[in-house]
Amino acid sequence: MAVGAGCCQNPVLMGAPDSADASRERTAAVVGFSVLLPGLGHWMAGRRRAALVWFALCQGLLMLGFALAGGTQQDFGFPFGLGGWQLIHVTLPELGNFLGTQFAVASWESADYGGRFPENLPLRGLGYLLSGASGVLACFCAAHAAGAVRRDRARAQLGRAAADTALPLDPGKAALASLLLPGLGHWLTGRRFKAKLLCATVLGLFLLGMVLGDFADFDRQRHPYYWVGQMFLGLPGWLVAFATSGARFSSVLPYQDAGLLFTTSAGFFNVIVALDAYQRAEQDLERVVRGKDAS
Amino acid sequence: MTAVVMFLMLLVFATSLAVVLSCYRDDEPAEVLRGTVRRALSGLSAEPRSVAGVAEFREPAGDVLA
Repeated sequence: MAVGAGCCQNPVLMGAPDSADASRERTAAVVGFSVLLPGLGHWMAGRRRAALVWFALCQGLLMLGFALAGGTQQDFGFPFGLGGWQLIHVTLPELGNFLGTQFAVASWESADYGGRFPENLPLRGLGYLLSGASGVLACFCAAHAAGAVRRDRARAQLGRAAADTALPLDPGKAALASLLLPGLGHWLTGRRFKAKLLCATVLGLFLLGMVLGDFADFDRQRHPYYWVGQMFLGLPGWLVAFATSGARFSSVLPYQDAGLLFTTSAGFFNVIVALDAYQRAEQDLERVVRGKDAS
Repeated sequence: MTAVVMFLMLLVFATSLAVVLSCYRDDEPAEVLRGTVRRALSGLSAEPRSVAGVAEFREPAGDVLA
């Protein structure tokens, strides 16, 4: 029996109107499976096409990234285990794509092992960007799957009225839009003021940080821990990182540390922006359901 | 000069943090702006002190996150 068909027999994962507790349980299950393997949560929620797209996107980026960087991503992580047994390999932010990362680490030997020269990997920076983007996208894939579940529940709650009710934006799409551009999720839910304010704040802080770091502070080899936070800025950050991948510090800069703090904080701020976009879109859905109930 | 630049950077960071927190807490533009100003000023008013050789920050009056 297909996995999805089995799941649709499961009352916890079915789209029927359910209690708040059952809905939370269902959302948690979908998020958990999405983090385990991007697309699995969508599959369980009955979104087969979206499941395949997310799976192909996340695994394709991860494998291409590992291929371009010669598997050196694992040099920035560490094995985690018990009693001499290695259970998992922790490499952030790739770990958002959990099983894919474990498979990639097991399949590739780092090209830097054995004293080989890292200069032999001219596309190493692009490889890091792609594999890191895979991990970040996998986290947002979980949010997207949870949003789909919430939307299905709203449709089930509305019943027959769902056909003639224009539902507001899916919460998962609102969160995902924040990854394309900070504030875009708010813009799409009609919160224009917050969208402009958040976009200017997050991008402004990021660009100021880049200026303070002479556009050379978005570099995994130099600042692997800061890099994890910077990656959460999303597409604008990835494009800037790609465009400045050849930049090097010309001297010790006076405010370089502040630049790193600003760019990394901007990335983490974008996570809060995405969470808020998700929550506001969910509130909009709730309002529509309650409005129909009242009428 | 350095002190001025450091102060400006602190101001930028405190304001950015205040904007993000206020947007997370509130939804109305007027409330967001009011919260931003209040939180930014509260953040700037935190005074560092040393207790038994360990640096701590004195809490500003009121709950910054409230």
